[in-house]
Amino acid sequence: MIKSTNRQVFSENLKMAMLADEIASSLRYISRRKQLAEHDQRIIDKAMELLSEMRRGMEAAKSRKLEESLEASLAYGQAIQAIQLMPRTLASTRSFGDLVDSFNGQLKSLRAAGSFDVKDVCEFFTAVREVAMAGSSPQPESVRVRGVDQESGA
Amino acid sequence: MPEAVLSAEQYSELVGERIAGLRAVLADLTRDAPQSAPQRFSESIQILISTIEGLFADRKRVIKERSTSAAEVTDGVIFAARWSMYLLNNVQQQYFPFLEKLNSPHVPLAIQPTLQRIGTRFDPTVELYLFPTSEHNYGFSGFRNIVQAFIQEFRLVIPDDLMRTVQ
Repeated sequence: MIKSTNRQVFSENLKMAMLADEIASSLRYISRRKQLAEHDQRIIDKAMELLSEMRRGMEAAKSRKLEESLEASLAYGQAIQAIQLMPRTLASTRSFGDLVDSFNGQLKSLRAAGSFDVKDVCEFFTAVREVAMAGSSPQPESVRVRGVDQESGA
Repeated sequence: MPEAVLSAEQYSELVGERIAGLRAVLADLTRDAPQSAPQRFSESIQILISTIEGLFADRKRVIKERSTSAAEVTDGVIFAARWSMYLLNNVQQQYFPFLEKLNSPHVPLAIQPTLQRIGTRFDPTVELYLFPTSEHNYGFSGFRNIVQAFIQEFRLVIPDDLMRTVQ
């Protein structure tokens, strides 16, 4: 028998957690400094790329074609959970698409050095960071045996 | 977020201890390894651990530089310590079991030279090591560009000087 494995030290969740953390932290720093450096442009591009991926995930979910874009679907799932952690945003948002448009607008304005107010985007990526990190935690395995009560099965 | 039980310094110390612990275990596992043992594989693991160490150190520096309050520093450092610990745990979980087998009685298998020749045709730097298992089963695990794959994935958060050092 020959068995192959694909081993990596990072999961998609962990990668997302680290990226979201870097994006939130950098955007906060840019909005304080009120000036853009080369690295900041890369961060803004990455943030917009992630938002596009989340939107693709939403469209894939609507058309029930999740298998076509697993990463995008994962990103969308994390975004939805992140919004649940933002009660103020949740209350004022009509749809996920509108929210992504609003975040994209803030990022475009930041890239053009027009407005440095990106508090909502920072809050969103901080929430994504927490959701993604929670998803990286290994879940304890549980086994259910038919006919055995859960309390007495320990 | 709920208030952390440990302080940022304690989290940092834990990461440092974890790195030192992994390095000590790695040294133990490879010290008496046979000459035929895959050298580049164990070197890659060492580089990976050093990269995570460098990444965490740089992250702390960046957090302190960017933050305006002690609470923000604490939050940032604790978060960085958490992902550093995850990465280190994953390094141990994914790669150390192979190193643990290095010192087990190794019987050179007749198919090894043939497999090595086949592998080398695809990539001259291939290292092949066969671990004896039971019932004539062969488990195959292939690792390729372990370090490069890691730094490619985290390009955005790896500072340029650390990237140059690793490469």
